[in-house]
Amino acid sequence: MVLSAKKLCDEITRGNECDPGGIAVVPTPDLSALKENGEASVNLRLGRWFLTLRQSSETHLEATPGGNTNENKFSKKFFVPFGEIFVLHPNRFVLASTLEWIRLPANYAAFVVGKSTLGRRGIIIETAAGVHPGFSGCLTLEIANVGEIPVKLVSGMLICQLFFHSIEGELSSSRTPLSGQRKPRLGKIREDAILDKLLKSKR
Amino acid sequence: MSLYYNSKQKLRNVQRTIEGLLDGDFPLSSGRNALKKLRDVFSELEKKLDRAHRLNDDGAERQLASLVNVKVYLSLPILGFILRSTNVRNAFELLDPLQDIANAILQGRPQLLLSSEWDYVPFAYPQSLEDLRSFVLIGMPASEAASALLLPLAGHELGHAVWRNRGIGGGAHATLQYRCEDLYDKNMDEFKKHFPDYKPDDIIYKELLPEAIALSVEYAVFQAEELFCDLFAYSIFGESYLYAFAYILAPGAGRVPGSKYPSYKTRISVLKETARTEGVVLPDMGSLRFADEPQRGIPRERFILRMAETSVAEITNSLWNDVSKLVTTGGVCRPTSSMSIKHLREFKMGIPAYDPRCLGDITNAGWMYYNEFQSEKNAGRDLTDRVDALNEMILKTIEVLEYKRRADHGA
Repeated sequence: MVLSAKKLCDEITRGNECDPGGIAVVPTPDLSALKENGEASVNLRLGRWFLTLRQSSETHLEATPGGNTNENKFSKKFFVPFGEIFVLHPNRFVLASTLEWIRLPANYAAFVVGKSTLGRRGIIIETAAGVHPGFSGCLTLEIANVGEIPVKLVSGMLICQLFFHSIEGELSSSRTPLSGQRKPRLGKIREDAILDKLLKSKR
Repeated sequence: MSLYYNSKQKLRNVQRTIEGLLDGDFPLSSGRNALKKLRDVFSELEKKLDRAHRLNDDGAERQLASLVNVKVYLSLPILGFILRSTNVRNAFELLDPLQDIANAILQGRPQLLLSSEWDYVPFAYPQSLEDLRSFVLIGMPASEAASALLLPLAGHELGHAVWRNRGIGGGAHATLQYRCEDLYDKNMDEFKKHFPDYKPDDIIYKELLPEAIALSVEYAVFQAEELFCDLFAYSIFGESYLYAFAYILAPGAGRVPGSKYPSYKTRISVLKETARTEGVVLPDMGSLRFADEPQRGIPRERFILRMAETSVAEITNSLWNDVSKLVTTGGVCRPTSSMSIKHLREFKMGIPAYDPRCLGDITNAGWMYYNEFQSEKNAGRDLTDRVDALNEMILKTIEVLEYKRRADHGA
């Protein structure tokens, strides 16, 4: 079940005060505005670190486990101070992070959704939308401009919204609390035993 | 070959280099402002050179050509420093809160530049560059540039800027001169033993005394500046300064200490004693086994140094008073154990602090957690990953500090 505005406020207050059962969102969003407008999601802001893909001497980017591991060869990082702009040109793609650091307990998950006002301007946010129980860190946002004109993104602007829902059934979270990141990264692709077998079975 | 055209070419090349650097991504405007300032210096120099050439003033042309060499020579390392300040290996989150402290304490609101240097020892160019007097440049070791735990060391380097900017050095020099003269007076027999040539009535040999005193005063002023910077960093960062200091320096290089630096033991004991006066017990650094620094070989050098060290020991309380006054009147937030413990609890929960108030609380909590990692059984396991994750939380908390300041006060 998706959490209501009131429930969200209560859970975030608990989480930020270190209650392990609460949801932490740091810096704290405007909870009084959330209560007032009654929305069932928390608006998140755009962080200051960006990562773009770039041309390099490498022939391609692997999309399976064990592929290219040095993301520096394919990417360039940018730090954009608060209030400064990052221009996303048409058909370009950038990884960014939410300003907010999120920590979910074992009994909640969340999903990231773009903002319709940005979508209407051609900005599509987040294609891997699920945030699992036990997650800790800033969310990496995959931002694309599918419109026809460049769009100015500003560090600290509202960029997406996060809906939270409770988990039914037995709870388990193997995540360690010490695992978060504040910058966007390409990340490692998780090992896939079945794909491994399929690859080995090639004739 | 023409001196004029060679100099013109050098000026154009350095200006072209600066223009290229100006295209970089700067985390704050200070780097770009410093480059513009240097660009103006070279542009002005070019105008003067052109005028001398037009007027056929050979003497002026030669002097200006020489000045071009000096300016380019002095500026290139600074341009490199500024370039490295834009490298994304740096933790740019650290800059704003440090600039805040600089604004509160330094006069003239100098602009701060934080860079990662290919030099293991953190250092500062504290407003000593003629063309960049309104800038403070702090370099941290490149390999540790992203480590928020070492931020307190930047506090020490900022202390050097405070020492000059607030005229502490001038006052200390006068006091140390007086103290050294007094000490030499009281230890005249020993002085005569080390300087048997000294003759108070001989026009040449009577000079041995003021020369020795001058050397002691010189060492004393340098050592007092280092202690002042330690105390300044301690006042802002609390015990985390001692941890950062020990992390980077322990166990020492086992060399004869430079006369311009107090020994590690002195530095640690001054910090501990100062903390004790505030009711704070600083950790024992015995486990890090700081090496006993060997003494200098020549007895008369040892004597001169001892006089310097004794004179400095007599003014450490007044150095601390200076620091306290500056920090209090500047309204700089000092760490408290309750907030540090609160942040520690937050880090242990895997979240940055949502209501940080001061840098020292954040770094203190970071070091507390770091030390807990090391004291655990199987401490080596995953230590690097855990420290990395802790570093992320510290940096995010520091970012929250800036965000709150800007969002709450629009400053």
